Amino acid sequence: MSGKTTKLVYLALLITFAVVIHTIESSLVFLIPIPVPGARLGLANIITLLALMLYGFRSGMLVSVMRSFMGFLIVGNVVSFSLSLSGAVFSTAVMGLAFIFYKKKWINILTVSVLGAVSHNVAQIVMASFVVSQFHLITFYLPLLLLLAVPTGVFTGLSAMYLHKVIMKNVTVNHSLSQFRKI
Amino acid sequence: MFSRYDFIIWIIIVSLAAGGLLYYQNYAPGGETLVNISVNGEKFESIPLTVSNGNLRREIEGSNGLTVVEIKDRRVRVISSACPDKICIHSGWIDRPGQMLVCLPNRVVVKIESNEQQDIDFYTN
Repeated sequence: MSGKTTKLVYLALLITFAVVIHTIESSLVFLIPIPVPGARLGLANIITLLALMLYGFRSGMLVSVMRSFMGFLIVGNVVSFSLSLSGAVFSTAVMGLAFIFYKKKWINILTVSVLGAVSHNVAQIVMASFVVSQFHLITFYLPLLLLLAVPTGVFTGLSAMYLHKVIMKNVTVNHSLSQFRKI
Repeated sequence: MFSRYDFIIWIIIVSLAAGGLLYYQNYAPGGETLVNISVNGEKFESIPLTVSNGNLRREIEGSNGLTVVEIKDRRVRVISSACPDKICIHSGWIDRPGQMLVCLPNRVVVKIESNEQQDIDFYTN
């Protein structure tokens, strides 16, 4: 397989995993202390962060946007779609920005992930208040969601970190296999 | 592993969250407390939340169907609602100004407000 095809297949797999997490996540609504249906914890950010680490910003954005669209087809309605899309796009943008600083070794990958979780929740709550046109939602639930973003972000970051380790191991295995076949 | 930038970012996030939470916990509102019910962003009814106002029920026609709101013992809850996920019912009782029950599919919002909070400057500071 050429490098381009490998990337395509890996990205397709990543999107699939993200959609699965997205679908499972939508049944975890009881964990979220805001009374807006469609709000999520942002666990699918694991895959977004992974794509960001493996292939860079554009692939991360592709994975998160595609995940939102596919999730819209499987679970959810227009409201939850608008929430998840705004959360996905904004958190990927922030994580992509933070990733630059991660590469410079200024910040940890967990901080990148926590920033992603925070921006995910902020985007969701802002979008939710636009949908219900109740801007009190922002002031009342934002502190709670900020606090909730820390454990979510740590979990997401740790998962992405260890997944990245495993994948880097297996990529070399795949590589040696393809070399073997060529011979 | 953790640099000082990490610590700065984490401390900013946690202190913002904790400060916001403390601010709402300690905020004791004066004046009259009202239960504002709105449908689709338009005001439906405003009921004072007092002890004498015990055991009230209101049926609100939303975009999906009826939502029944109960006011009892200075608390408010949604009893039944014509929405698929019933999140507003699972939210349970609310009694503090600033709290709200939202039924998004039915476009019904029940919010507790105090007279003091009507001032727009409160939210922008």
